[in-house]
Amino acid sequence: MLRVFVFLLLSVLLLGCAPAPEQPDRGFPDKGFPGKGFNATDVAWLQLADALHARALPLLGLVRGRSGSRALADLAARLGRKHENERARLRALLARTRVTGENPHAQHDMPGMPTADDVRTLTALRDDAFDRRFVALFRAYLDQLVLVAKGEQSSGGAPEARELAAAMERDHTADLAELERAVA
Amino acid sequence: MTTRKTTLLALLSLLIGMIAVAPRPAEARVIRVAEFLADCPFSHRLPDDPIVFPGLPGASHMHSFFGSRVTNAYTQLSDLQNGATNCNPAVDKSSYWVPTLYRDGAPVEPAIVTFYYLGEGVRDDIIATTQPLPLGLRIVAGNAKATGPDGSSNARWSCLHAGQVPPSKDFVNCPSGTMLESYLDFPQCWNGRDLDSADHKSHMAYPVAGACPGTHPVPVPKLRQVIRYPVSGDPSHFRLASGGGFTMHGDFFNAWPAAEMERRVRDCIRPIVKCGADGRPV
Repeated sequence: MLRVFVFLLLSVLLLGCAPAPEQPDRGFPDKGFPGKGFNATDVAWLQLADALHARALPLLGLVRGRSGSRALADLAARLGRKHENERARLRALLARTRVTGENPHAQHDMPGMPTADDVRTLTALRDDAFDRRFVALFRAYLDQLVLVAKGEQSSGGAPEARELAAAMERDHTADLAELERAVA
Repeated sequence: MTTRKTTLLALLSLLIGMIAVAPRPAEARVIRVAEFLADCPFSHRLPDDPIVFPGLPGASHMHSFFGSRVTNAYTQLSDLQNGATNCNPAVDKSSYWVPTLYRDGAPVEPAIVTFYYLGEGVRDDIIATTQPLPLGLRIVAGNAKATGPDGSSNARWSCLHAGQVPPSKDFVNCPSGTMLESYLDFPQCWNGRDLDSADHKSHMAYPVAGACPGTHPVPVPKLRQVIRYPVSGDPSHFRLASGGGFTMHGDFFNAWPAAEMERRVRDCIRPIVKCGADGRPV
Protein backbone atom coordinates (compact mmCIF):
# COMPACT_ATOMS: atom_id res chain seq x y z
CA MET A 1 0.00 0.00 0.00
CA LEU A 2 2.79 2.38 1.00
CA ARG A 3 4.62 1.52 -2.22
CA VAL A 4 1.58 2.38 -4.31
CA PHE A 5 1.19 5.66 -2.48
CA VAL A 6 4.87 6.58 -2.94
CA PHE A 7 4.62 5.70 -6.59
CA LEU A 8 1.48 7.77 -7.12
CA LEU A 9 3.04 10.68 -5.30
CA LEU A 10 6.18 10.39 -7.43
CA SER A 11 4.13 10.21 -10.61
CA VAL A 12 2.17 13.30 -9.70
CA LEU A 13 5.35 15.15 -8.80
CA LEU A 14 7.07 14.07 -11.99
CA LEU A 15 4.16 14.95 -14.23
CA GLY A 16 3.57 18.21 -12.43
CA CYS A 17 7.10 19.50 -12.55
CA ALA A 18 9.44 18.14 -15.17
CA PRO A 19 13.09 18.82 -14.26
CA ALA A 20 13.94 22.38 -15.14
CA PRO A 21 16.26 22.77 -18.13
CA GLU A 22 19.85 23.57 -17.22
CA GLN A 23 21.26 27.06 -17.42
CA PRO A 24 21.85 27.92 -21.06
CA ASP A 25 25.32 29.37 -20.36
CA ARG A 26 28.60 27.60 -21.12
CA GLY A 27 29.66 27.11 -17.52
CA PHE A 28 29.51 23.55 -16.29
CA PRO A 29 27.09 22.88 -13.45
CA ASP A 30 28.94 22.21 -10.24
CA LYS A 31 25.99 20.56 -8.51
CA GLY A 32 26.70 16.95 -7.70
CA PHE A 33 30.28 17.77 -6.73
CA PRO A 34 30.22 18.73 -3.08
CA GLY A 35 33.76 20.16 -3.07
CA LYS A 36 33.12 23.89 -3.13
CA GLY A 37 34.14 25.70 -6.32
CA PHE A 38 35.05 22.57 -8.30
CA ASN A 39 33.14 21.81 -11.48
CA ALA A 40 32.85 18.73 -13.72
CA THR A 41 35.85 19.79 -15.83
CA ASP A 42 38.06 20.12 -12.72
CA VAL A 43 37.14 16.63 -11.57
CA ALA A 44 37.58 15.05 -15.02
CA TRP A 45 40.93 16.79 -15.54
CA LEU A 46 42.31 15.90 -12.07
CA GLN A 47 41.29 12.24 -12.48
CA LEU A 48 42.66 11.98 -16.01
CA ALA A 49 45.96 13.74 -15.22
CA ASP A 50 46.40 11.54 -12.12
CA ALA A 51 45.72 8.38 -14.17
CA LEU A 52 48.14 9.53 -16.91
CA HIS A 53 50.89 9.98 -14.28
CA ALA A 54 50.14 6.60 -12.72
CA ARG A 55 50.48 4.85 -16.08
CA ALA A 56 53.49 6.72 -17.52
CA LEU A 57 55.81 7.15 -14.53
CA PRO A 58 56.88 3.45 -14.40
CA LEU A 59 58.45 4.04 -17.84
CA LEU A 60 61.03 6.34 -16.21
CA GLY A 61 62.22 3.52 -13.96
CA LEU A 62 63.16 1.46 -17.04
CA VAL A 63 65.61 3.99 -18.47
CA ARG A 64 68.70 3.39 -16.32
CA GLY A 65 70.33 0.15 -17.38
CA ARG A 66 68.56 0.05 -20.76
CA SER A 67 69.25 3.41 -22.37
CA GLY A 68 72.48 4.04 -24.24
CA SER A 69 72.39 7.70 -23.27
CA ARG A 70 73.68 9.08 -19.99
CA ALA A 71 71.84 12.37 -20.66
CA LEU A 72 68.54 10.52 -21.04
CA ALA A 73 69.11 8.51 -17.86
CA ASP A 74 69.80 11.70 -15.89
CA LEU A 75 66.74 13.39 -17.36
CA ALA A 76 64.55 10.39 -16.50
CA ALA A 77 65.68 10.52 -12.86
CA ARG A 78 64.91 14.25 -12.67
CA LEU A 79 61.52 13.85 -14.37
CA GLY A 80 60.66 10.98 -12.03
CA ARG A 81 61.07 13.14 -8.93
CA LYS A 82 59.27 16.11 -10.50
CA HIS A 83 56.29 14.15 -11.77
CA GLU A 84 55.82 12.22 -8.51
CA ASN A 85 55.67 15.57 -6.77
CA GLU A 86 53.18 16.84 -9.32
CA ARG A 87 51.04 13.75 -8.90
CA ALA A 88 50.87 14.41 -5.15
CA ARG A 89 49.54 17.92 -5.89
CA LEU A 90 46.92 16.49 -8.27
CA ARG A 91 45.81 13.99 -5.65
CA ALA A 92 45.61 16.61 -2.92
CA LEU A 93 43.28 18.70 -5.09
CA LEU A 94 41.28 15.61 -6.06
CA ALA A 95 40.72 14.88 -2.36
CA ARG A 96 39.33 18.41 -1.99
CA THR A 97 36.70 17.77 -4.70
CA ARG A 98 35.35 15.09 -2.31
CA VAL A 99 34.71 12.77 -5.25
CA THR A 100 35.41 9.37 -3.79
CA GLY A 101 35.95 5.93 -5.25
CA GLU A 102 38.49 4.52 -7.64
CA ASN A 103 39.84 6.78 -10.37
CA PRO A 104 37.57 5.86 -13.34
CA HIS A 105 40.42 6.22 -15.84
CA ALA A 106 43.00 4.12 -13.99
CA GLN A 107 42.10 0.80 -15.65
CA HIS A 108 41.58 2.25 -19.09
CA ASP A 109 43.90 2.82 -22.05
CA MET A 110 43.37 6.50 -22.75
CA PRO A 111 45.24 8.63 -25.31
CA GLY A 112 48.73 9.43 -23.96
CA MET A 113 48.90 6.33 -21.75
CA PRO A 114 51.40 3.56 -22.49
CA THR A 115 49.54 0.24 -22.74
CA ALA A 116 50.63 -2.97 -21.00
CA ASP A 117 51.94 -4.16 -24.41
CA ASP A 118 53.96 -0.96 -24.82
CA VAL A 119 55.61 -1.49 -21.43
CA ARG A 120 56.38 -5.16 -22.20
CA THR A 121 57.94 -4.27 -25.55
CA LEU A 122 59.94 -1.40 -24.08
CA THR A 123 61.28 -3.55 -21.26
CA ALA A 124 62.88 -5.92 -23.77
CA LEU A 125 64.65 -3.16 -25.77
CA ARG A 126 68.18 -1.78 -25.25
CA ASP A 127 70.28 1.21 -26.30
CA ASP A 128 69.11 3.23 -29.32
CA ALA A 129 66.05 1.07 -29.95
CA PHE A 130 65.03 1.57 -26.31
CA ASP A 131 65.66 5.33 -26.48
CA ARG A 132 63.55 5.79 -29.61
CA ARG A 133 60.60 3.85 -28.22
CA PHE A 134 60.86 5.42 -24.76
CA VAL A 135 60.95 8.96 -26.17
CA ALA A 136 57.91 8.27 -28.41
CA LEU A 137 55.88 6.94 -25.45
CA PHE A 138 56.94 9.69 -23.03
CA ARG A 139 56.35 12.37 -25.66
CA ALA A 140 52.77 11.08 -26.18
CA TYR A 141 52.20 11.30 -22.41
CA LEU A 142 53.58 14.86 -22.15
CA ASP A 143 51.70 16.01 -25.27
CA GLN A 144 48.42 14.73 -23.83
CA LEU A 145 49.08 16.41 -20.46
CA VAL A 146 49.73 19.72 -22.25
CA LEU A 147 46.52 19.33 -24.29
CA VAL A 148 44.24 18.60 -21.34
CA ALA A 149 45.91 21.29 -19.19
CA LYS A 150 44.82 23.83 -21.84
CA GLY A 151 41.22 22.56 -21.60
CA GLU A 152 41.27 22.80 -17.81
CA GLN A 153 42.53 26.39 -17.93
CA SER A 154 39.65 27.49 -20.17
CA SER A 155 36.81 25.34 -18.73
CA GLY A 156 37.83 24.56 -15.14
CA GLY A 157 36.08 26.18 -12.20
CA ALA A 158 38.42 26.12 -9.20
CA PRO A 159 41.22 28.74 -9.40
CA GLU A 160 43.73 26.42 -7.68
CA ALA A 161 43.09 23.66 -10.25
CA ARG A 162 43.40 26.10 -13.15
CA GLU A 163 46.65 27.46 -11.70
CA LEU A 164 48.08 23.95 -11.39
CA ALA A 165 47.05 23.28 -15.00
CA ALA A 166 48.83 26.47 -16.14
CA ALA A 167 51.99 25.45 -14.25
CA MET A 168 51.80 21.93 -15.69
CA GLU A 169 51.39 23.23 -19.25
CA ARG A 170 54.55 25.38 -18.84
CA ASP A 171 56.54 22.59 -17.15
CA HIS A 172 55.58 19.89 -19.61
CA THR A 173 56.33 22.06 -22.62
CA ALA A 174 59.81 22.53 -21.10
CA ASP A 175 60.04 18.74 -20.40
CA LEU A 176 59.26 18.05 -24.06
CA ALA A 177 62.09 20.36 -25.19
CA GLU A 178 64.51 18.69 -22.74
CA LEU A 179 63.49 15.26 -23.96
CA GLU A 180 64.26 16.24 -27.57
CA ARG A 181 67.64 17.70 -26.52
CA ALA A 182 68.61 14.58 -24.57
CA VAL A 183 68.25 12.37 -27.66
CA ALA A 184 69.37 14.93 -30.26
CA MET B 1 -10.47 -19.93 -1.31
CA THR B 2 -9.37 -22.71 -3.63
CA THR B 3 -12.68 -22.51 -5.47
CA ARG B 4 -12.26 -18.79 -5.92
CA LYS B 5 -8.74 -19.30 -7.22
CA THR B 6 -9.92 -21.93 -9.66
CA THR B 7 -12.74 -19.72 -10.89
CA LEU B 8 -10.32 -16.85 -11.31
CA LEU B 9 -7.91 -19.04 -13.23
CA ALA B 10 -10.69 -20.31 -15.46
CA LEU B 11 -11.86 -16.78 -16.21
CA LEU B 12 -8.30 -15.70 -16.90
CA SER B 13 -7.73 -18.59 -19.30
CA LEU B 14 -10.97 -17.72 -21.06
CA LEU B 15 -9.86 -14.11 -21.39
CA ILE B 16 -6.44 -15.07 -22.71
CA GLY B 17 -8.11 -17.46 -25.13
CA MET B 18 -10.39 -14.70 -26.39
CA ILE B 19 -7.50 -12.33 -26.90
CA ALA B 20 -5.56 -14.98 -28.77
CA VAL B 21 -8.39 -16.21 -30.96
CA ALA B 22 -10.94 -13.44 -31.36
CA PRO B 23 -10.51 -11.47 -34.56
CA ARG B 24 -10.09 -7.84 -33.71
CA PRO B 25 -11.40 -4.88 -35.66
CA ALA B 26 -8.82 -3.46 -38.09
CA GLU B 27 -8.41 -0.12 -36.34
CA ALA B 28 -7.44 -1.85 -33.10
CA ARG B 29 -4.87 -4.16 -34.74
CA VAL B 30 -1.80 -2.65 -33.11
CA ILE B 31 1.39 -4.57 -32.53
CA ARG B 32 1.74 -5.35 -28.82
CA VAL B 33 5.28 -4.02 -28.36
CA ALA B 34 5.96 -0.87 -26.33
CA GLU B 35 8.25 0.94 -28.75
CA PHE B 36 9.10 4.12 -30.60
CA LEU B 37 12.37 4.86 -32.34
CA ALA B 38 14.78 7.34 -33.88
CA ASP B 39 17.07 6.61 -36.83
CA CYS B 40 20.16 8.77 -36.44
CA PRO B 41 23.04 8.10 -38.87
CA PHE B 42 26.72 8.94 -38.41
CA SER B 43 27.36 12.66 -38.04
CA HIS B 44 30.99 13.27 -37.11
CA ARG B 45 34.05 11.96 -35.30
CA LEU B 46 35.97 13.67 -32.47
CA PRO B 47 38.24 12.61 -29.57
CA ASP B 48 35.75 14.39 -27.28
CA ASP B 49 33.19 13.36 -24.66
CA PRO B 50 30.97 16.11 -23.17
CA ILE B 51 29.75 13.72 -20.44
CA VAL B 52 33.00 12.08 -19.26
CA PHE B 53 35.44 14.88 -20.21
CA PRO B 54 33.37 18.09 -20.32
CA GLY B 55 35.44 21.08 -21.42
CA LEU B 56 38.50 18.94 -22.26
CA PRO B 57 38.75 18.63 -26.08
CA GLY B 58 41.04 15.79 -27.18
CA ALA B 59 40.96 14.07 -23.77
CA SER B 60 39.01 11.03 -24.96
CA HIS B 61 39.53 8.12 -27.31
CA MET B 62 37.89 8.65 -30.71
CA HIS B 63 34.09 8.75 -30.71
CA SER B 64 31.58 8.47 -33.55
CA PHE B 65 28.64 10.81 -32.98
CA PHE B 66 25.06 10.23 -34.17
CA GLY B 67 22.05 12.56 -34.20
CA SER B 68 23.13 16.04 -33.13
CA ARG B 69 25.55 17.58 -35.65
CA VAL B 70 27.12 19.94 -33.11
CA THR B 71 28.34 17.75 -30.23
CA ASN B 72 31.89 18.39 -28.99
CA ALA B 73 33.69 18.58 -25.63
CA TYR B 74 31.82 21.75 -24.63
CA THR B 75 28.27 20.67 -25.48
CA GLN B 76 25.48 21.71 -23.14
CA LEU B 77 21.77 20.93 -23.41
CA SER B 78 21.06 24.33 -25.01
CA ASP B 79 23.63 23.63 -27.76
CA LEU B 80 21.75 20.44 -28.68
CA GLN B 81 18.36 22.18 -28.54
CA ASN B 82 19.59 24.99 -30.83
CA GLY B 83 21.71 22.80 -33.10
CA ALA B 84 20.94 20.68 -36.17
CA THR B 85 20.29 16.93 -36.10
CA ASN B 86 20.32 14.15 -38.68
CA CYS B 87 17.76 12.06 -36.80
CA ASN B 88 14.49 10.81 -38.20
CA PRO B 89 12.37 12.21 -36.53
CA ALA B 90 14.06 15.62 -36.76
CA VAL B 91 12.46 16.62 -33.44
CA ASP B 92 15.00 14.37 -31.71
CA LYS B 93 17.89 16.75 -30.98
CA SER B 94 19.60 14.22 -28.71
CA SER B 95 23.24 13.25 -29.08
CA TYR B 96 24.39 9.64 -29.10
CA TRP B 97 28.00 8.42 -29.37
CA VAL B 98 30.12 5.26 -29.29
CA PRO B 99 33.85 4.46 -29.55
CA THR B 100 34.88 4.45 -33.21
CA LEU B 101 35.30 1.03 -34.87
CA TYR B 102 38.56 0.49 -36.78
CA ARG B 103 39.32 -2.15 -39.40
CA ASP B 104 43.07 -2.57 -39.91
CA GLY B 105 43.54 0.88 -38.39
CA ALA B 106 41.02 2.67 -40.64
CA PRO B 107 37.78 4.03 -39.11
CA VAL B 108 34.55 2.32 -40.20
CA GLU B 109 31.26 4.14 -39.71
CA PRO B 110 27.94 2.31 -39.42
CA ALA B 111 25.50 1.99 -42.30
CA ILE B 112 22.38 1.77 -40.08
CA VAL B 113 21.96 3.30 -36.62
CA THR B 114 18.68 2.92 -34.76
CA PHE B 115 17.79 3.98 -31.24
CA TYR B 116 14.76 2.08 -29.96
CA TYR B 117 12.89 3.33 -26.90
CA LEU B 118 11.22 0.32 -25.29
CA GLY B 119 8.91 -0.57 -22.43
CA GLU B 120 10.17 -4.15 -22.08
CA GLY B 121 12.31 -5.17 -19.12
CA VAL B 122 9.69 -4.46 -16.46
CA ARG B 123 6.24 -5.99 -15.83
CA ASP B 124 3.33 -4.78 -17.96
CA ASP B 125 1.68 -3.02 -14.99
CA ILE B 126 4.95 -1.11 -14.47
CA ILE B 127 5.26 -0.35 -18.20
CA ALA B 128 1.85 1.35 -17.81
CA THR B 129 3.44 3.80 -15.36
CA THR B 130 6.53 4.63 -17.45
CA GLN B 131 7.67 8.23 -17.10
CA PRO B 132 9.30 10.29 -19.88
CA LEU B 133 13.12 10.37 -19.97
CA PRO B 134 13.84 13.75 -18.38
CA LEU B 135 15.21 16.50 -20.64
CA GLY B 136 18.97 16.87 -20.21
CA LEU B 137 19.47 13.34 -18.84
CA ARG B 138 22.96 11.94 -19.49
CA ILE B 139 23.73 8.22 -19.38
CA VAL B 140 26.79 6.10 -20.14
CA ALA B 141 25.95 2.41 -20.71
CA GLY B 142 28.29 -0.52 -21.32
CA ASN B 143 31.77 -0.78 -19.90
CA ALA B 144 34.63 1.00 -21.68
CA LYS B 145 37.00 -0.52 -19.11
CA ALA B 146 35.93 -4.14 -19.56
CA THR B 147 39.03 -6.31 -19.63
CA GLY B 148 37.44 -9.32 -21.31
CA PRO B 149 34.21 -10.74 -22.74
CA ASP B 150 32.87 -11.52 -19.24
CA GLY B 151 30.22 -10.25 -16.82
CA SER B 152 31.83 -6.80 -16.70
CA SER B 153 30.60 -6.16 -20.24
CA ASN B 154 26.95 -5.87 -21.31
CA ALA B 155 27.04 -5.02 -25.00
CA ARG B 156 26.63 -7.83 -27.52
CA TRP B 157 27.75 -8.41 -31.08
CA SER B 158 25.90 -10.38 -33.76
CA CYS B 159 25.41 -10.50 -37.54
CA LEU B 160 22.56 -8.86 -39.44
CA HIS B 161 20.84 -11.50 -41.62
CA ALA B 162 22.95 -14.31 -40.18
CA GLY B 163 21.11 -15.45 -37.06
CA GLN B 164 23.02 -18.75 -37.09
CA VAL B 165 26.08 -16.92 -35.73
CA PRO B 166 25.65 -16.92 -31.94
CA PRO B 167 25.79 -13.47 -30.33
CA SER B 168 28.89 -12.72 -28.27
CA LYS B 169 30.27 -10.05 -25.94
CA ASP B 170 33.24 -9.77 -28.31
CA PHE B 171 33.36 -9.25 -32.09
CA VAL B 172 31.90 -12.14 -34.11
CA ASN B 173 32.89 -13.53 -37.51
CA CYS B 174 30.03 -12.55 -39.86
CA PRO B 175 29.56 -14.35 -43.19
CA SER B 176 30.44 -12.35 -46.28
CA GLY B 177 27.50 -10.21 -47.41
CA THR B 178 26.13 -9.73 -43.88
CA MET B 179 26.84 -6.90 -41.47
CA LEU B 180 28.49 -6.85 -38.05
CA GLU B 181 26.00 -5.42 -35.55
CA SER B 182 26.18 -4.22 -31.95
CA TYR B 183 23.30 -4.18 -29.44
CA LEU B 184 23.42 -2.26 -26.18
CA ASP B 185 20.56 -1.75 -23.70
CA PHE B 186 20.67 1.29 -21.44
CA PRO B 187 19.38 1.15 -17.84
CA GLN B 188 15.68 2.05 -17.53
CA CYS B 189 15.24 2.89 -13.84
CA TRP B 190 15.94 6.49 -12.79
CA ASN B 191 16.59 7.76 -9.26
CA GLY B 192 14.04 10.51 -9.96
CA ARG B 193 16.45 13.27 -9.00
CA ASP B 194 19.73 13.55 -10.91
CA LEU B 195 20.30 14.20 -14.62
CA ASP B 196 23.87 12.87 -14.25
CA SER B 197 26.16 11.48 -11.54
CA ALA B 198 29.91 11.47 -10.84
CA ASP B 199 30.37 8.11 -12.59
CA HIS B 200 27.60 8.95 -15.15
CA LYS B 201 25.89 5.66 -14.29
CA SER B 202 24.73 5.57 -10.67
CA HIS B 203 21.69 7.86 -11.18
CA MET B 204 20.33 4.99 -13.34
CA ALA B 205 19.87 1.27 -12.68
CA TYR B 206 18.78 -1.88 -14.48
CA PRO B 207 15.51 -3.45 -13.31
CA VAL B 208 15.52 -6.41 -10.93
CA ALA B 209 12.94 -9.19 -11.41
CA GLY B 210 10.76 -7.05 -13.68
CA ALA B 211 10.64 -4.02 -11.41
CA CYS B 212 12.69 -0.91 -10.68
CA PRO B 213 14.67 -1.11 -7.42
CA GLY B 214 13.71 1.12 -4.49
CA THR B 215 16.86 3.23 -4.97
CA HIS B 216 15.84 3.97 -8.58
CA PRO B 217 12.03 3.83 -8.45
CA VAL B 218 11.12 5.66 -11.67
CA PRO B 219 10.62 3.48 -14.78
CA VAL B 220 11.62 5.30 -17.98
CA PRO B 221 11.84 3.95 -21.54
CA LYS B 222 14.77 1.60 -22.14
CA LEU B 223 17.09 2.93 -24.82
CA ARG B 224 18.33 0.12 -27.08
CA GLN B 225 21.19 1.13 -29.33
CA VAL B 226 21.47 -0.97 -32.51
CA ILE B 227 24.41 -0.23 -34.80
CA ARG B 228 25.12 -2.02 -38.10
CA TYR B 229 28.60 -1.77 -39.57
CA PRO B 230 29.24 -2.55 -43.25
CA VAL B 231 31.96 -5.07 -42.40
CA SER B 232 32.15 -8.84 -42.03
CA GLY B 233 34.74 -11.59 -41.70
CA ASP B 234 37.75 -12.20 -39.44
CA PRO B 235 37.28 -10.19 -36.22
CA SER B 236 41.04 -9.98 -35.63
CA HIS B 237 41.00 -7.01 -38.05
CA PHE B 238 38.62 -5.04 -35.81
CA ARG B 239 39.18 -2.93 -32.74
CA LEU B 240 37.29 -0.16 -30.98
CA ALA B 241 38.90 3.14 -30.00
CA SER B 242 38.39 1.94 -26.40
CA GLY B 243 39.93 -1.53 -26.96
CA GLY B 244 38.40 -4.96 -27.69
CA GLY B 245 34.80 -5.56 -28.77
CA PHE B 246 33.78 -6.10 -25.14
CA THR B 247 34.62 -2.42 -24.38
CA MET B 248 31.62 -1.30 -26.50
CA HIS B 249 29.72 1.43 -24.70
CA GLY B 250 27.25 4.14 -25.55
CA ASP B 251 26.66 7.68 -24.35
CA PHE B 252 23.25 9.37 -24.50
CA PHE B 253 22.47 13.04 -23.91
CA ASN B 254 18.68 13.50 -24.03
CA ALA B 255 17.44 16.54 -25.92
CA TRP B 256 14.01 15.31 -27.09
CA PRO B 257 11.53 18.18 -26.59
CA ALA B 258 9.64 17.26 -23.40
CA ALA B 259 6.23 17.30 -25.14
CA GLU B 260 7.42 14.96 -27.95
CA MET B 261 8.92 12.50 -25.45
CA GLU B 262 5.80 12.67 -23.28
CA ARG B 263 3.45 12.02 -26.23
CA ARG B 264 5.42 8.93 -27.27
CA VAL B 265 5.49 7.57 -23.72
CA ARG B 266 1.72 8.13 -23.45
CA ASP B 267 0.76 6.76 -26.89
CA CYS B 268 3.36 4.00 -27.45
CA ILE B 269 5.06 2.86 -24.24
CA ARG B 270 2.36 2.86 -21.55
CA PRO B 271 -0.36 1.23 -23.71
CA ILE B 272 2.26 -1.18 -25.23
CA VAL B 273 1.90 -0.13 -28.84
CA LYS B 274 4.58 -0.35 -31.54
CA CYS B 275 5.17 3.10 -32.99
CA GLY B 276 7.44 4.38 -35.72
CA ALA B 277 9.81 7.35 -35.82
CA ASP B 278 6.83 9.72 -35.88
CA GLY B 279 5.55 8.32 -32.60
CA ARG B 280 2.35 6.97 -34.19
CA PRO B 281 1.28 3.32 -34.22
CA VAL B 282 2.75 1.44 -37.17
